[in-house]
Amino acid sequence: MLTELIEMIKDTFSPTIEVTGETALKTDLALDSFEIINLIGILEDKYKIDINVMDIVSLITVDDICNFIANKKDTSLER
Amino acid sequence: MFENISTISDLLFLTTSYYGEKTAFSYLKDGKMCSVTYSDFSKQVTTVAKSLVLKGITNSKIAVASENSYECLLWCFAVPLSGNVLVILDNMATIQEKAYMVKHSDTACLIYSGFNQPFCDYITENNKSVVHTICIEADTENYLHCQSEVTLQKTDGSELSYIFYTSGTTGKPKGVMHSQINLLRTSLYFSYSIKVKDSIFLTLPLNHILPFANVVFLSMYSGCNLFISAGLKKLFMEMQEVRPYCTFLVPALLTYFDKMIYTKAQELMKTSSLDQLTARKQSCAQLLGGNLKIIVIGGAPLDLEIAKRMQALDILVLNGYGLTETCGSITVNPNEDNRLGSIGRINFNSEAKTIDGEFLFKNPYLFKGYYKDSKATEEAFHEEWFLSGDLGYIEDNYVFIVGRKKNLIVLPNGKNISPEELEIELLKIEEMKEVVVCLQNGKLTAKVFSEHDKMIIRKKINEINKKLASYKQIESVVFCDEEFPKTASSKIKRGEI
Repeated sequence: MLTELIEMIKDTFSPTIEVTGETALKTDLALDSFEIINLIGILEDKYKIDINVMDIVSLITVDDICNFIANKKDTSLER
Repeated sequence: MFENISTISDLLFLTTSYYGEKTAFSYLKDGKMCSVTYSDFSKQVTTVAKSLVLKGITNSKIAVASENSYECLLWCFAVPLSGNVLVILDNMATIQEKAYMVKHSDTACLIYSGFNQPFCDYITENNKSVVHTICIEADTENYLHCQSEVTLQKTDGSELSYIFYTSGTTGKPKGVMHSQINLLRTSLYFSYSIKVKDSIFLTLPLNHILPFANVVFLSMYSGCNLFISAGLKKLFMEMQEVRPYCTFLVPALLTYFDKMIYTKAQELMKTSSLDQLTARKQSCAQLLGGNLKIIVIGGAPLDLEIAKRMQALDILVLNGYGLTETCGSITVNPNEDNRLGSIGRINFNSEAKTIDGEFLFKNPYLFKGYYKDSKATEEAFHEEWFLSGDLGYIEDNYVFIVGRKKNLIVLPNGKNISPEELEIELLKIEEMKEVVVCLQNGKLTAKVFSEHDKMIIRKKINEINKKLASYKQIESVVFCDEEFPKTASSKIKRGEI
């Protein structure tokens, strides 16, 4: 999923730096909160999950998003 | 019409008399438009207030932690009407920050949205003074169907009814105390400058005084339909559905609108022969509903270029200014004489002057003091004048801001940040030698001096970010090659970095 996510970030924001799992959304990619909310919207549609705006607090790096989505998908499967 | 208004009870009575069957509030629920008339709103608020009294919740502090919703607004009216004090919590604050406000305010009852369940659990576990909890989604209905013969206490509107928490310069939030008359009268004078009609789109969070008092009351005084947005994720979809006449934004959101209009216009121009202005107008109409004529901006400095671009699309951008302590707006540009660059005309009931460049404001409805902090209250005033901490000048009764006296950072989203509070956190990083937090290019920036590996420091800042409320997170890290200039007492000279 990480590769997929990195590609999506590259397509959406055309970053000038190399994107890895450790890349931070704010301090490395210079995304502002609205761009992050926009990204969350894309992720919700793509992975059919519901992400609360408050969860964004803990989504600092690309890896964080990856783990978050994986957890969300597990929880929804359990239900 | 509303000249003598003093209480929420007056507001409900008068708006029902004038606007009874008109829509007061609307919102989208599961894709369906719901609306509530002025008359029904008044009945619902009264029933909920009586239910609180019937349950024995009186003369208490009641905290509300919720995202915007019609039900949240209902509670925000019912609590003061029931004779209790409403403590408004920042929904985006961390659990620990909210818990501090609940404890500091001596809250006895917590009203929370389902999203705040973990926070409610934390409070139930750790704060035994909170004896009642009300879940907005699960319990509001019960309170609406409570038949009771309770009589609500009469009031003249001058007693303490609200506590708003704002960022203090020392980091700990301060509780700003207000009465009903303060909020109602200040908003009344605000409404004399802003002429609105039809529908107003509410997207700013209700824990801020501008939306809580100025926007909600302006809408009610004007007999408008206030649409309560479900949040940023659905913003444009909702605007297209509602087609509002007016909205209130912080500069960061205006920038976002501007960016979205630009992107959409570029797409349109690729597939048509439209000139730029026409493409921008079409994009704007598609995104924002096509009926938007007024955007009122507050909370942080307005980017004039963006304001001009919006005005070229026939949308009036009116800048205003106010603090929680002044009940929100104390100056605003009126529709008929908008002066871009100024934060507006001083409201009719207020006076302003400068001492050593700092604005001082005076009117009969300034805050009642900081809750349990008489020292800070004393320091906030010079005689009966409130010291704003902002620097600038006054020309022809219009106010112009040039900077801030204190170190407090005002972010483009309207949030206030104490740089020292974040610097203390960042200095916990072992490898960090010196750090200064400031606003650079609209971003909350940490300027770092360290001889250690930059990657390690970046990673550790990311870890610290996880523990901070989203608006306090460092957005940009800049490494400096030399130590920061200091004063004789070894304090970093912020102004010279």
